[in-house]
Formats: sequence, C-alpha cells, structure tokens
Amino acid sequence: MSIEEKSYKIWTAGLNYILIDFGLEKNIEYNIKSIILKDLLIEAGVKGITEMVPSNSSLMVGYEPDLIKTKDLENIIIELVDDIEKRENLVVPSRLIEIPVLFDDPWTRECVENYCKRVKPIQNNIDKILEANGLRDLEELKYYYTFPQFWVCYVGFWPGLASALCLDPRFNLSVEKYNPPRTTTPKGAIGLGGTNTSIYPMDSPGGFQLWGITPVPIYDSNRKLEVFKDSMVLFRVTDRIKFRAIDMEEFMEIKRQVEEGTYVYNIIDYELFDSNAYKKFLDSCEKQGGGASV
Amino acid sequence: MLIKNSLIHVRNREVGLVFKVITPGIQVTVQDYPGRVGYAHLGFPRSGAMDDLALRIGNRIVGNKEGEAGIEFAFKGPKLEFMEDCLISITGGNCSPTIDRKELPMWTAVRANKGQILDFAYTMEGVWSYICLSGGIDVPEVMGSKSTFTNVNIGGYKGRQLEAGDVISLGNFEKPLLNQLEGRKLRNHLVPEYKQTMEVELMYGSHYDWLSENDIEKMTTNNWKVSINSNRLGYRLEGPEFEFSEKALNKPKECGSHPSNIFDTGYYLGGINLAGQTPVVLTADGPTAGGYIQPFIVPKVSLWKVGQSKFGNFIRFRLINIEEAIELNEKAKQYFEEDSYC
Repeated sequence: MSIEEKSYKIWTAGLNYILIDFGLEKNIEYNIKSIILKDLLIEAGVKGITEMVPSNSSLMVGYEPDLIKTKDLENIIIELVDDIEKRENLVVPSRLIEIPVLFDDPWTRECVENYCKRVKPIQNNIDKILEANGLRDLEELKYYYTFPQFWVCYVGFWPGLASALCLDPRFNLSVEKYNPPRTTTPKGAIGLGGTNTSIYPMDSPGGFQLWGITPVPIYDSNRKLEVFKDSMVLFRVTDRIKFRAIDMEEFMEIKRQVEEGTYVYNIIDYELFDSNAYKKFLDSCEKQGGGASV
Repeated sequence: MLIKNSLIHVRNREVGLVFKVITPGIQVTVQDYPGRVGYAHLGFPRSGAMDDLALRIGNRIVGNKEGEAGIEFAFKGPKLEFMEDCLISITGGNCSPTIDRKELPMWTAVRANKGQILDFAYTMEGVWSYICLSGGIDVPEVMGSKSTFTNVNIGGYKGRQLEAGDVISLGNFEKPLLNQLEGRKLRNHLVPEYKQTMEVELMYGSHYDWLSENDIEKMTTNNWKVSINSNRLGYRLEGPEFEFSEKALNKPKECGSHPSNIFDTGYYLGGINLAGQTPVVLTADGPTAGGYIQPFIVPKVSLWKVGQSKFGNFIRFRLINIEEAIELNEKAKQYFEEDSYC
C-alpha cells in the first residue's frame, strides 16, 4: 500500500521533524494512536529521536539526521503505525485527576475587565459560552463541566499547559477564541477555546474564554508538593480530568493547604482507557439523542 | 565580619567568581546549545542561543565544549567588571566591545584581567552577540540545560536576565589555558556576515497543500520584512497576503475558523507558523504546540541567519530539498574543525 492510500499522512518537515497526522476531526482515537505510536518508538529505542509531541490528532517526532536517516525513520514509523491501525482495540492506562474549580471567580472576571479597558470591549466570557452553546445559565454550565470527564490530549504551547477534550458528546461545548489574544491570564484560570478546555499553569498569555479558576497548581518549578516529585508538570497525555465545583470558602482553604505544602491531590491511578468500550458509549449517546439536561 | 570575609575569599578561589554586572544591557541571559532538548511534550521549548553558530564558535575559540553556556545579549551588551583574570571571546552581532575603553577584536580569545571593565556600543550588524568564558559559566542545569527561559523563570542565572550587581561564577577555571589560547581566533574568511537582506534556506514543513501555488511562490520571491514585534519566541514577517487553497477553506470545523487554523499540532523549532496572514518563524523560546499550520521550516543549520536579521531588515528565502540540507549540514561542520582556527 502506498502512503497515498493510507488513512494517515506523514509529513517530512525539513530535516529534523516528521509529523504523523491521523486525521483532522475531533476523535479521541486519533489522539490515542499518536500516544501509542510515541510509546512504541520509545520501546523500540530508536536512536536519534530528540523529542516527541503527541497532540490532538498527530504526533510530532524530532530527530537528528546525523544519527538516523529521514527515510529509515519514516520506514520505522510506517511499520509501527500500520501495526497500530490493525489493532481492534486501543488500550492505554489513564489517571483520573480531580480539579476543584471556583466558577465565575473574581480573578478571571477582573482579567476580562482589564482586557475590556486596555484592548477592546468584549462580552462577559461566561455569557459568551452560554450563548454560543444555547445554555440557560451558570448552573447549567457548571453541570456541563462537572458531570463529564475531560481527556488530556496534549500538554504544551506553554510549560505545563494541559489541553483537554470533553469525553461525553452530550456535553460538547465550543466557542471562538480571543482575537487578539490576552497578554496575561491569571495562574489557575480555566477556559474554553474551540472544543479544547485548558488550565493555565501560570500567569501567561492566552486566548481562551475564561469561566473559572482552580486553587491547585498544575505546574510547580519548586516541586514543593509530593505530586511534583518527578516532574514540574502535573498533567500528561491520557490523563482524565474531573472538575468539582467549590465555593470561595473551600477555595481559600485549599489554597492555604497548597501554600502549607499539605494539599493532597485526588488521583485515581489504576484505570485503563479502552477505545472499544468508549465507542460503545458513544453509540449509546447517539441512540439517546438530544442534549443533556440538568 | 573577618570570618565572613575570609569565607568569601575561599569561595572566590574555589568556584571562581568571574565578573560582576555594573549596568545590564538588553536581554542579557545565560544560554547554551542545543538547550533543553526532549521536554517539548511538557511544553518546554529548547531555549538556548538565538545564534547557535556564534555561541559554538565562541566556545571553541576559548577552548570550551561547543555547547557550553555563554552570555547572550541583543543590541546592547552589559557593562561588566572582572573579578578574576580570565580568557574571553566575543562573537555574533558586531557590538564594538572594549576593555578599559580599548577596542577588543571579536571572534578572538582575549585576556580580561581582574578589575578591568568590559563594555559595548550599540550593535551595528546583527542582533545577538555572545560572551564566552574559558571554563564556561557556573549555573545549575535545569532539565539538562543551563539555558534561561525567562518566560517561566527557569534555567540560567536565577531564571532571569542579568541585572546590575549580579555576580557570575566560572564553571571550571584552569589558568594554564589562559596563555595557551590567548589570541586564538576564527579564520577571517569564516566569520559570518550579517547582511541587510539575509538569504535564508527554507524547506517544506507540513500542510503546505493548504496554500495555493501562488502563495508558495510568494514565500520565495519576496523580501520579507522582519517585524519589530520579534523576540526569542519568534520572528514575525511582514509581506504580501496569502490566498490559501481549497483544503484550507473547506476543512473540519474543529480546525478553527481561519484558513491558517488547524487542529492543534506540535510545533517545529524553525517552523514557519502561519498565524492568520503573518508568517512567524518559531525560534528558541517559541511555543511547543498550537493551532496554526506550519507549511515551511527553516532548517536548523540556517536558523542563526533568522536570529541575526535585524528588525526592519529583510529576509529572502531559498527553497531547498533534503539532499541540499544534508550538504549544508556537512559544510557547516567546517566551523568546528581545528584548521578553522589560528
């Protein structure tokens, strides 16, 4: 089979990168394929690979042409992808991480107000999300964010920034991004841009419509909390996020625990994500039809 | 007080405090090569020198490993006072270095003695210059690199640009090298030139079929102006508008509303990211992933030319294939052969 006939596309980008593109639609399976391919390349111990970035539906592989020829690396990749494409079921370990959230908080509200003053007047971000998705009110938005789980499909753009897709099609939300983007977003802010939901790891630029903030760090360069023992970054691809709505009192209490270094993340770390079981779930959602309701 | 002083003295000898910053220049940071490789999947760019060629040559001149950390600055260097005799080289953009107001040759190993002041004028040609010290710079490695990524305050000297009063230590200081290497320089014919219009090699990236044939031609037949909104994250280019192809105009909605939007992918170092109508060359501190197509990429071997293109000056791209890029890589190795130094 020639590459033209395959379901994926391989781009040879310059002399240092190959991009394997599994598709252009939102499909968790494409994301899992890019993650499995990354794992297989690590297992195979291919020399010359410098970095690999799985994202929504593709895997970027960086390499040193002095150590491996482009064509050789391409052939290894094609062989592995063909093997993945033959698999009837894709299974990856997946952690479930609870993220407490204060919806419609004063910090992101202030951030939006500052944008209005300094850049241009824009709609209240939560109203914008409600309007774009036909939701009634903040309570309904809370339900849309706290009932389903979210799949971390990539970490990047900014150190530690996690991008997640909603796993339950009945709760899909989407909204356009800022234009032009913000120069600053408060640490812990959470926003929606396109169909991706992102948590901002630190004060940083950004373009997502903000709807809440979490008191727990997802990036810690000082590695104070136990969870950052091995990495400054909390999330990795294949993690699932479960948002939990909290009030201001609990927000301040968690913040205090974080500062003390006593906060313990609520993480379930023994589950697997099974693409066949997920497909069955998607089918059942389709049969139910319609949107979710409170 | 006496005890404290003597302690400092001991420390001084052991780790070699080498210079103190009197006045900071512009964007003065510690950078090495090839930077923080292998952490892009967590969102960390490589960082490292914006002109890796100049840093690596500077290191070779003073007898360091090619990838050792040096001091990088843009447009105007810092004023430094040496606290120890040492051997230095200044490479990169022509920044008119002086020591105690006496002109210093660039691309040459020169001696700096305790108490002497190193200073610079505004950079004439190029953007980034480097100070390499024989023995390197003593800052902790973060994720395998001494490079500074100021946007999140990691690496380098306290994760930030150098400020007045900062004191830098030498990594490893061996006095004998001082006399052996003094005067060693890169042969004149090899010294890189930073022109008003830089010719920069270009290769295909990904999703270039989202551009029309006209668009692809535009890339290589125009002089692209380097925007003043350029920095260590990326160089923005000003030029004609793109019309895009059918593929970019009719695509799944997840890819975003603008023709240059795509479902987020990993970003290449040197990738030319089409942010709406603005091509942006992603450089050392650039984002690791995002939602714009990267139809072209500047090969690693040519990326220093982008870095040294002055804001307001021009870049002219020349499209090359893989074989030509491999040839360029081979040719660039001459900079690091012993014969290239005298």
